[in-house]
Amino acid sequence: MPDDALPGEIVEHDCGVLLEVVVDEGKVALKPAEGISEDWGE
Amino acid sequence: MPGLVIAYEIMRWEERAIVNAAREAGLKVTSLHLHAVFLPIGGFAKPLPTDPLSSIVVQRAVSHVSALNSTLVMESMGFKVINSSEALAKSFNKVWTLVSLAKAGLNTPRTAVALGEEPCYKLAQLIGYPLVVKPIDGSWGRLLALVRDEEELRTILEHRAYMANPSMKVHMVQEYVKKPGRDIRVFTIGDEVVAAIYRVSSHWITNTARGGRAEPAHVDPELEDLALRAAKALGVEFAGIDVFEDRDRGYLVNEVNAIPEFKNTVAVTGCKVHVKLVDYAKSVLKK
Repeated sequence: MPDDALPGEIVEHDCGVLLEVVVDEGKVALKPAEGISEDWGE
Repeated sequence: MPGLVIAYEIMRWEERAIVNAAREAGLKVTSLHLHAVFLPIGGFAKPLPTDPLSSIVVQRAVSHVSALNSTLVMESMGFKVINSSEALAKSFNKVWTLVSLAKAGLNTPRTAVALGEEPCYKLAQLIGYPLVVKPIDGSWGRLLALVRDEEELRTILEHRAYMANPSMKVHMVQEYVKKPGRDIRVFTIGDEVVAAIYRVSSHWITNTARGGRAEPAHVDPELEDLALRAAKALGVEFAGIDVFEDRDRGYLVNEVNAIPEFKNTVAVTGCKVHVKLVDYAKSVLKK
């Protein structure tokens, strides 16, 4: 994970899984990144 | 110190590249995670540690609903946002996009809208099979249907009848353009075409999100003019414009993407789209 990772940042684990950086009460954690939602796009 | 606010929900390669480019350009960068803030309409409170007069917002929300609504509120607070709420609304709605392009005299695939099933069958006879039934919003080739005959059309309409989303009751029917195994994505920033890629695929859906392969594309004067006119028609300052090549009619503008992804484009063209976007934002700030 980059030193300056931001909330919502998508990082890739060595195994290829995409994870999202979450910050909760100052603590940084990772959760599985959401794949796609109905209105997501360009 | 001039600033750049990047409004985002998830920070992908593109958003990170914009942040880094803005820092390198000497801008004060504010990363606005849209899920972590409130945005007061009219700016009665100050949620952002930056001044609308010296900062510019680059909208990068991945949800169209989030992008449009947060842009509207930030504009009410006095911020200049790339792209504007009006441009986002036009580009997110494929009907509005094609109407705007047609009004500007640009060639588009033959398309019509039908709100009922029976008109759909009549329309299909007029356009001819195969044809494409598209959602009026959405992206990445989702829910596009290639329809080869009336039986398939009946199936698609039946499925749509059971979908809860009311926009799926607006049947956008488009001719199937026989593409030469690719389409073109042209990137415009301001009044300039900065890069273009072919999206090559043996599948009729050529989106890179659906497996299309990006290759550098040649931009001739006609394509350049077309892309800039399309951008102007929708009022987008940064866009990815999707163009079909038709054997008889030449270039046809199909879609305009107001929050385009560009990782693959940077990789195959070498054009640093994010740097050009930041340079453009700086030039707008100076005005």
